[in-house]
Amino acid sequence: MITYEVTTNKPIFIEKVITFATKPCSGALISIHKGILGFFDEFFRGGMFKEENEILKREIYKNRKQIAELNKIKNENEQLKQALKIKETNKNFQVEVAKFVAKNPNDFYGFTINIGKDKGIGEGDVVLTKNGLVGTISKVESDYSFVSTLLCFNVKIPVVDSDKDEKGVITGDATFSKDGLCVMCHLNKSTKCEVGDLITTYGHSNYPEDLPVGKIKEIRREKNGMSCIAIIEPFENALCVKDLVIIKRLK
Amino acid sequence: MIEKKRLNLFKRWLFLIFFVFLFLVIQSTEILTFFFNSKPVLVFPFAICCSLFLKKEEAAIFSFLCGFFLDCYNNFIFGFSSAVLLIFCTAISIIFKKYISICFFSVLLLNFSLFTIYSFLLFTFKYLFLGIENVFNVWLFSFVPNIIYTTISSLFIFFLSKKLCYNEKLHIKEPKQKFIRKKLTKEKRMKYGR
Repeated sequence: MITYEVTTNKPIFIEKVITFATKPCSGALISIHKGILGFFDEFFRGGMFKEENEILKREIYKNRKQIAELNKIKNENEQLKQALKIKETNKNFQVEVAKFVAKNPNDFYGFTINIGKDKGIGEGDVVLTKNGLVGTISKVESDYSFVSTLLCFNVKIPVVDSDKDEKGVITGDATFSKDGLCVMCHLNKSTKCEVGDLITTYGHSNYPEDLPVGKIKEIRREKNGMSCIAIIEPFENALCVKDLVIIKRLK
Repeated sequence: MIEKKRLNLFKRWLFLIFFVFLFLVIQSTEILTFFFNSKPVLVFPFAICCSLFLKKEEAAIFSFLCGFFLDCYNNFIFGFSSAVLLIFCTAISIIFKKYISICFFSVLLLNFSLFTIYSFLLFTFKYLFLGIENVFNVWLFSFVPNIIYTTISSLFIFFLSKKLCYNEKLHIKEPKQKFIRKKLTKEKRMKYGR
């Protein structure tokens, strides 16, 4: 029997029968054994489990902290990539990264950021996020600045319909600003712009080109009947932003 | 005795400045943004409510400081709110206390009316003078929710300011007059058929 097993490397019939009979019993015994041990574990090995628990808790806390730090680095990395991308397409402009600081409840269409003259920011510099254009710098102080968003009435940025190559000026309007929309004016009476067209910056002197602004939501004729306006839905909600990129004009 | 008074005065001003600072931080963030995307202005009603309980000189100084805090992060003329609050709070500390009783309803009405005037001045100088079309949409959809929200929040701020500034010696409550039923004479009883 032994030589047969060694030479052929196959189990013999008796072994098969014995293993077939004992397998379920050994399985039952093992589970009973585990059950009994488990019942008495609390009393005999409770201290050990408590220690292991504390160690594991500390490891979990450490891992969570690491995850939070990694997320922060990841966000910063994305922001800097965005800044680099903009810098590559607009080589005449310098880029600066900023953060939203505060918004006065009496100032409905603007907010404050955390950099100013100390980083070389000037009035008229463009503010944007990874989604699109947000507005321009309206007032600069030593280490903070005020941003007037696209919803503001005194912001006028030259833009172009990238699909139909029609130029206009984007600004805020009292009728639409409450809904988070802005207006592109100075369109021809027979404009070819359509709903859904992509609007980008035109690239006129002080403003970089091809920055996404929004898409056309509606086209209306002006009261005088001589021109049309397009109601633009910006890609970025200008009043709920955190991380921003400022494009500085070269002086 | 004098030292204790000075210490109490110092503590009270410290708490006042701390709460103004806290309210400025809260009103500048997105914490209390709810209906119509508006936020309450907390510093303004705090200045108004505190001036009800402070002396006129204290009210003037405090309102002037609060105005500077209110003008922070506001892309407008720095000092505008200080000037407006100075006038309002000094007038309140001189006139209001003498002629009107300080109660829940009167404070609510006072805050509502003064903040509406302040908002209207801000609206006029910031938007109306620009000559924008349909500018009253800004008043209707931005300023009016702001006024309502600020008035509601002023109720809570009133209780806080009362706790901070109310001095029993300065504000003596008038005793309630008991209603005394006069006895009718015989003649009057005959006249009125009783």
